[in-house]
Formats: sequence, C-alpha cells, structure tokens
Amino acid sequence: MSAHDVFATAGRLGQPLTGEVVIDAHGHLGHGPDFPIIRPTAGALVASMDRLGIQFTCVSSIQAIFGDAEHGNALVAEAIQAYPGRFFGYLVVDVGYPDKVAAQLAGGIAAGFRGLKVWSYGARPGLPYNHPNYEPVFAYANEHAMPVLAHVFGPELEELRGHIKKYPRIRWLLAHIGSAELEKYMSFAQEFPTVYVELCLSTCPRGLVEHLVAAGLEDKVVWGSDVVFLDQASQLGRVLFAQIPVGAKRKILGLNARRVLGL
Amino acid sequence: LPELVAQFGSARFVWGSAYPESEGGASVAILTYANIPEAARRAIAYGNIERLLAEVKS
Repeated sequence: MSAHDVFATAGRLGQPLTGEVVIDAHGHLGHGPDFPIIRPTAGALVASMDRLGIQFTCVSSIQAIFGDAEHGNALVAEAIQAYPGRFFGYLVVDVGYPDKVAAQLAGGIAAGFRGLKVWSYGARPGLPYNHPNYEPVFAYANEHAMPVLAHVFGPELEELRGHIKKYPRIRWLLAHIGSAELEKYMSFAQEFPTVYVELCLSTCPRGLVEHLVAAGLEDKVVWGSDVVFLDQASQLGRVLFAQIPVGAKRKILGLNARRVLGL
Repeated sequence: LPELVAQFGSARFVWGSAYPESEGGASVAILTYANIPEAARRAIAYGNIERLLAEVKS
C-alpha cells in the first residue's frame, strides 16, 4: 500500500513480523479424519508461529470437534501448559450429550481454556445452533464472558441471531467469512457490537480483505489461519499483501483479536 | 512445502496463485516463508517454469 508497509515488506522477504501484535484467532491441534495433516503437534505449530512472528495461536482440538471432546481438550490443555503464553484454548463440549456439558465446561475453565469453539454440523454433535442443547453452553459462556468461535459457512448465521441478542457478554467470532452469504456476515458485524468476523478460508477469495475494510469493518475483522488444516503463511499473506492501510492490517492481524479475546 | 521438497527435491514444483479467484499474496507467502534452501525457493518461484517453457519452445 505504501513504501512504509512493514507487513508487505516482511512478507516479501519472508521475515517474522517482529515488533507487531500478531494473533491467529482460529487454529487447531491434532489429526483429522478426512485427510493427512503434516506434523499437527504443538511444537511444530510454535515453530511456525516463530517463523512468521505470531505471538498467540487460539486453538481447539480437531479430535474434540469430531466427537472426542474429553480426549481432544486434554491435548489442548497440555499444549497450553507446555507453551505458556503461546496458546489460547477454545474448549469444545459434547452438545450432543447434554448430561456431560456442565462438567466439561467447569473442567475446561479449570484447565485454562478461555473461550469456546462450536461447530454445529460436526460429525458427532450434528445439531443446529438453535437446538436447545446449546442453551446451557451459551448461557455459561455469557456468565463467564467467554468469547465463542463459531464455525459458519453462511446458513448457520440465522441460527445464531437469537443467541447473539440474548447473550450480550459473549464476543462472537463468526468464522470463514467469504465462504457464502458474505453480505449477511457483514450485516451481523455491522448490526451487533459483540460480533466479529474471522477470515480463514482455503480459497483465499481475492479482494475480500479490501472489501471488508472499504465497508468500514476494519475494527470487526480478525485474522485466523485454520492451522493445522492450512498453512499459517498462506492465510497471513492474504493480509500482508492486501491493498489496505497499514493501520488496518495492524488491527486485523492482532489488535482486534487482543481486544476481543482479552489477551 | 518443506515436507514436499524434503521428500522429492525442488525441481518438479512450480508456483501458482489461482488468479483471479484467489488472493495471490497467499501463495506468495507460502513460498517466502517456507523453511527451504534459497535455491529451492528460486527454482519453485520461477526457475522450474522457465526451464519447462524453454523445453516446450525447443
């Protein structure tokens, strides 16, 4: 964007973003069931973060999302303990098994998790966000003012509308903007003070970041990578080389997430 | 990318961006941040495709 764009310069040179606040708001640890993931360990992820200059990665467990919440969450808890100050943990609970939820929430807080990850059409939960089983989950998040990262690919937005209105202490991160129903994502971010939109998407839609900033949303967009599914570098490059002001890059890459997540 | 280069070398990979659908910066950053030798990075960025195109012309 300008001769003094430290982000584009670092990206061209492959240098870490030293001196900047860079937070990956959407990451994972662990293996997935659908395709191989190379070195999905906490140590390998920290190496990636150091190479790019990312201070925090906010992670949930892939195993937990796919139905093994207790085992998966334990792996994330281990990573939080092993690498202090590098991981923010999103807890995943078994919404399909409501008798387990209260204990999983309490255990998650005790283990150092500070947010929740929900995925309505996961392999095991398979429940829309407006299913009654989600009520105690979001009520707990509201009580504890926990941020919630919600997997969204467009149609789920309407399932969340009621919760967003009902639980004003939750900061909502609506994942994968650009997947579908772009205008609705944007309208949610514009309408609700507690709603933020998150960028990670494998297709990397050209011009999306510029479009969001032009629409006045630079304070409501947070960067995420979907690591370990995706390479953090690829998603970082979408913002580093975007044709937007340096100040907007700084907000999207870290300052917004730091505020939303309370880091 | 580092895993692929470690397994197969750098001579048979070429860089692409998926333009115009995808943001080219994403593909650029994969390459610039990859933990691979500089010679491999340059080969993937342009060297290999230049060689391939030269072979087509001949």
